[in-house]
Amino acid sequence: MAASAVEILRQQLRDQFPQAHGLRTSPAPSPLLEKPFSVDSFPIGAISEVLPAGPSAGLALFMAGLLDESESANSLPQLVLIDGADAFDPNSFPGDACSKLVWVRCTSALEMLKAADLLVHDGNMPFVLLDSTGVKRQDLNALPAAAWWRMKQAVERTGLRLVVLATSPLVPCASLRVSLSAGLSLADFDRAQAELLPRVHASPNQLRRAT
Amino acid sequence: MFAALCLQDFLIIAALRNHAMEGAYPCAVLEAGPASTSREKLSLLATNPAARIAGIRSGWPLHRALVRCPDLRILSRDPAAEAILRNELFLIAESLAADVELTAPDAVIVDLSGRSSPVTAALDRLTLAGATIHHARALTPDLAHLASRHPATRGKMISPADLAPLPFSVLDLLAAGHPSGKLLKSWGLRTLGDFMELPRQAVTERLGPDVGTWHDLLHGKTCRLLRLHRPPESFGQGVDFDDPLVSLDPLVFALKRLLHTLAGRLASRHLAASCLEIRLVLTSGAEWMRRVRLPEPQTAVEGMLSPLQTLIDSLKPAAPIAALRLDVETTFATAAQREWFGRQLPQPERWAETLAKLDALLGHGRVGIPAPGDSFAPDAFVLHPAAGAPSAAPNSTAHPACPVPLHRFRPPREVAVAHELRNRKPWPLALLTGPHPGEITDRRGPFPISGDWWNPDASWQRLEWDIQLMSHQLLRLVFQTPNRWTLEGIYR
Repeated sequence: MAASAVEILRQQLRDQFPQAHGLRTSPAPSPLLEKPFSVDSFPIGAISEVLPAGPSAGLALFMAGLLDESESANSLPQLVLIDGADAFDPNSFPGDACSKLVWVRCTSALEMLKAADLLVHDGNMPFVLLDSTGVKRQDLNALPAAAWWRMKQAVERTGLRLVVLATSPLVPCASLRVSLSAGLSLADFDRAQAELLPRVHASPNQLRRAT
Repeated sequence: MFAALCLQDFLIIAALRNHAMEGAYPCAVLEAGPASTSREKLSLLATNPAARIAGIRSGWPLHRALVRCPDLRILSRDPAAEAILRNELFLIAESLAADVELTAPDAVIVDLSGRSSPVTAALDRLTLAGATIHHARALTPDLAHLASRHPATRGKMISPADLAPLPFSVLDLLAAGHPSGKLLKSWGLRTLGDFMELPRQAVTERLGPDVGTWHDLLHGKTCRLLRLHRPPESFGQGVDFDDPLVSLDPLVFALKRLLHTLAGRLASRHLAASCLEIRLVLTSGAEWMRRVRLPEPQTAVEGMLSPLQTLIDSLKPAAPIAALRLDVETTFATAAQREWFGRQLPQPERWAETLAKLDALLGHGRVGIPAPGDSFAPDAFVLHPAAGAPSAAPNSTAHPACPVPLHRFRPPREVAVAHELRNRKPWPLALLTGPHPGEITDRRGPFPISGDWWNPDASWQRLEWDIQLMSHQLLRLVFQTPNRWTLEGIYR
């Protein structure tokens, strides 16, 4: 009886304050990402995390694939790159690929988190890519876990896709965690990028859910 | 009815405005020629009455004019004075009627059809300092313009028949450079009347439709619409504070007041703001300026104030604020409905505010749409504004040389490298220090790159390698003389 009263109360609160509760549809992670470079591979309204499986796992190729796959007919940028270590190299990408992103150049982990918070709350860009790979591990560890949970709620509310690139698991509330592996070597540098992209494999990791 | 006003000797009048003492002497304006051309061979663009009395004509080469008149004063063109003179002529014409066309740099045409009071006396009273305004009236604008160019038809209302005695060269105003003009002269036509008597159909069949148009024009059969000139309007405003501001709250109030005035002006002209420029003058004499490009044209005060307020909130001026200036770039308010197939920003005003907040958080120029630079210098790129015109970022189809994008270290990290000399070039063997020490197992390169070789102070050259370490890390290594090794980035 008491349990049902709590449920009724929760339901009433959800109806009264839908924004505070947000969209709680937990996306089911696909067993294998067939198209890792497609924006649609990542769940809407959730944080996803992409990790490298080795030293040359193709994280940059992943970004190149994303830019290559996103629509080109639209004159508006398609995604925001929050660059935690200010490491994005525009000369490594074609000009038309660069024009699809808004580059946010941060110099510290805190700046990166604040910028992500602003952009997630803004909600105008449907895809936010947060690159933390160049940031020092101790700076990332100093970020409070509560910040990620708050960001998760904001992402749920605005319904955008937030993908975090990290060298090791960083976001405690990630809905999808993907390991990238490509096994690149110097011999691959003589090939075309289109030949290298299919070598990037993305496999979802098992997540230990807190809720 | 139309009236044409023109200034004879426009170039020389403008050039003499800054050399008033020279006006009494024979003066001429010289054309600007290429540096390789001898000055004596350049032609005279215009001459003043004193020079004409001395027998010098426009178009003469300078050396011929100097032979005729050794005291000839040579002036160069003064574009700024010409613009001022043109503006004064326009203002005089606008005092007669609102619809004015800038037909030529030295001539305007006024549409007098809406004027009820007599205009003859008003035209005769027109004066301009240091210049004589010639005028003529006709039922079509081009007839009035032609008539104002010749002394025989100036100052009166003319009909097509009045143009007949004028020399054929008057038609050069319309036919300058046209091959048919020279051909007609070679036919022996001496006056405009000779040309007007030619049968229109036959002359058009032989020489083309342009000649038919001139024929119609001289007979007063065509009356075109004027290309009305509207001078650029400034929406700039400013406030000089009696007491310099030491806090930012009063600044926001002052800014809001300016924006209210601006919104009213924009609304009355059916315009909207596309870019706001705010400038703060500090008591120390320094200025702080920032341009905020709005993602969508704005007319509401709130939409314009929000990004500006975010900027101001993050401001830490070094001295009290003595004055505030606000200017705006205008555009037409968007009246079109949203596109069905193209993505648009759901909340553009919020995007502008977010960009302003990012600007305040990260510093100016840290957010934008990147584009590869136009040089081979390391880390050369440009950052276009993320808001406003999306076409600002040019699309390039050039592909980078390396298929794997680089994760760049900014600044590059200095390392010690064990190396040997091969063919008088260093050959890296192992990284001894830095974030990724280890033996180099494979390498591509060296790739010699250099730039700015024409500038001894800025010239640079370097050798680049893509290296693979024992730990399978892929890095870009750079050597610069005399003995500087840096890691430029990592291929992740």
